[in-house]
Amino acid sequence: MPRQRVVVNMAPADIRKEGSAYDLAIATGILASSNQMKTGDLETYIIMGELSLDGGVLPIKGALPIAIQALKDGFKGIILPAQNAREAAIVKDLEVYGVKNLAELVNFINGKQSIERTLADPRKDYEEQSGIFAVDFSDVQGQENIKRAMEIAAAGGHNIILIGPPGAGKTMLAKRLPTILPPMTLHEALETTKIHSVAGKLGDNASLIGIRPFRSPHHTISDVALVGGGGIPQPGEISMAHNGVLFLDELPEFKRTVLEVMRQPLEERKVTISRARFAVEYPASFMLVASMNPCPCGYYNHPEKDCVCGAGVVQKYLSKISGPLLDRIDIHIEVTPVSFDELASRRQSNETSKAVRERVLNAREFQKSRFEKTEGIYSNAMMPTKMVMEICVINAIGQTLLKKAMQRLNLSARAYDRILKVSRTIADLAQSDDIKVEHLAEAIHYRSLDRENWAG
Amino acid sequence: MVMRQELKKTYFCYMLVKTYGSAVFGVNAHKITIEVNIGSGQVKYFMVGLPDNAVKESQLRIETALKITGLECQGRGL
Repeated sequence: MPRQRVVVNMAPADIRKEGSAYDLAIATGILASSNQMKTGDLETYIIMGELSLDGGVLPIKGALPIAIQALKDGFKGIILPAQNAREAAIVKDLEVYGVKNLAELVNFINGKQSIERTLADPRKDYEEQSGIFAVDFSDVQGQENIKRAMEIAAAGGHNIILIGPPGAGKTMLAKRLPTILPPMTLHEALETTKIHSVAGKLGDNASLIGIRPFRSPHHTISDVALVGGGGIPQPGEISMAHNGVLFLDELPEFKRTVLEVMRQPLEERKVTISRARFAVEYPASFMLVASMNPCPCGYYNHPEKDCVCGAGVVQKYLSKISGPLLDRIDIHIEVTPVSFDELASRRQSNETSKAVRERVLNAREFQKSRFEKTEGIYSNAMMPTKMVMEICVINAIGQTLLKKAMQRLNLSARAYDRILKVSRTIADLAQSDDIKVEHLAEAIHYRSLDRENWAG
Repeated sequence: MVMRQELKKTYFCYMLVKTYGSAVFGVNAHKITIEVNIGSGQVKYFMVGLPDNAVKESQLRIETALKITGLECQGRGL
């Protein structure tokens, strides 16, 4: 350290600078200022990294957004910890140099040592990852109606809740949902990777995330952990699940406040975390998959076993999930346990995820033309109300059916939109240009929790 | 070390150097300009521009890291 007066200024002064990632840039400044280092092309680089006492450079968070911004600001390159180099190298046209220690950086700037520019091929990384799953839909015996509901959910990006007794295969089915979802587009992969980069969850030498994230937080999760927050706002589980699946197992066991804070992000597909000085916005466009038992003992509506819950207990259990939240879940489906015969017939050939995914992809392709002009909308579930009115047109017979169903089942106005959206997806799966009565009828059937007679 | 010999020859006072870093907000980053000036005056380390504690702590990390890498300035008197 020069034994003189050292002034370090970080501009602009109104932005709060946090963390230890500026060590390397400050150290470089001090070295260059005391002429231990050439200043030549120092100004053409963004330099980030945490220093350890032995001069080693430690990894940082958010290398990808930093690299993206560096390119926008017209920098030639970026110098950052070697562990983050591949992550930043996703940004083409930016020279990325990973350094392991301070000496390496000094020699590099002084031109005494060359560091190999890190090059990555995000497209290749992404293609290598997509389509490889450890699980498959063919592992699930029976449950054809649930698989159908999952297929519809995947085709339209709808939120789905599975209600059923323990051991019926709810969790097993939910875990297999990512295998039938369409692969992420490069743009989506970039968005998701950005969030994981900011959260520092990418790991060393990680590159683009090619498969849709599947997050399944435990039900003891806090509000902040779910939606994001903290002194330095960090992305929560809903943002980590961006462009993927958020699976909430045993939904009624979650704290009520936790479920309620999720309501707004579910509609807006982003979450804004405001602090007195600033506000940050994290995208949170995820598909919610929830599972629950119909009552505390789990056997309400079970075909064989009797429910032992007392009067009112079932009602109380269900009331843990608020109406507004249920309204935001497009598809409700009851899971019944698989019978012994079906379980035993292990040789029966089940449909593989690949076959289902094929149909989902076709349905998405069918939707695509509809959303070409609108930005930020990729699936039926994302349609705003106005678009639903324009796109999901039903004929007179359909109107009558829907009107009757709404009255009988006492459905809310939001449920009306949901039914239309789901019926549109069912029609897409059938490659039908207009919504037919059978599509509508199937969609109405997926609102079981809205039924008045549910849990008597 | 070669570097130190060079240094004695070419050392100038009042040198201002700019380096660039980045602050991450949400999923976006902002360019941060880090200006360092070493000059005569009271021997002290000043850090300005709304740094939080972790950034301020960098002084000790940098000081030690420079020393161990063999880059510290010698013969400056103070």
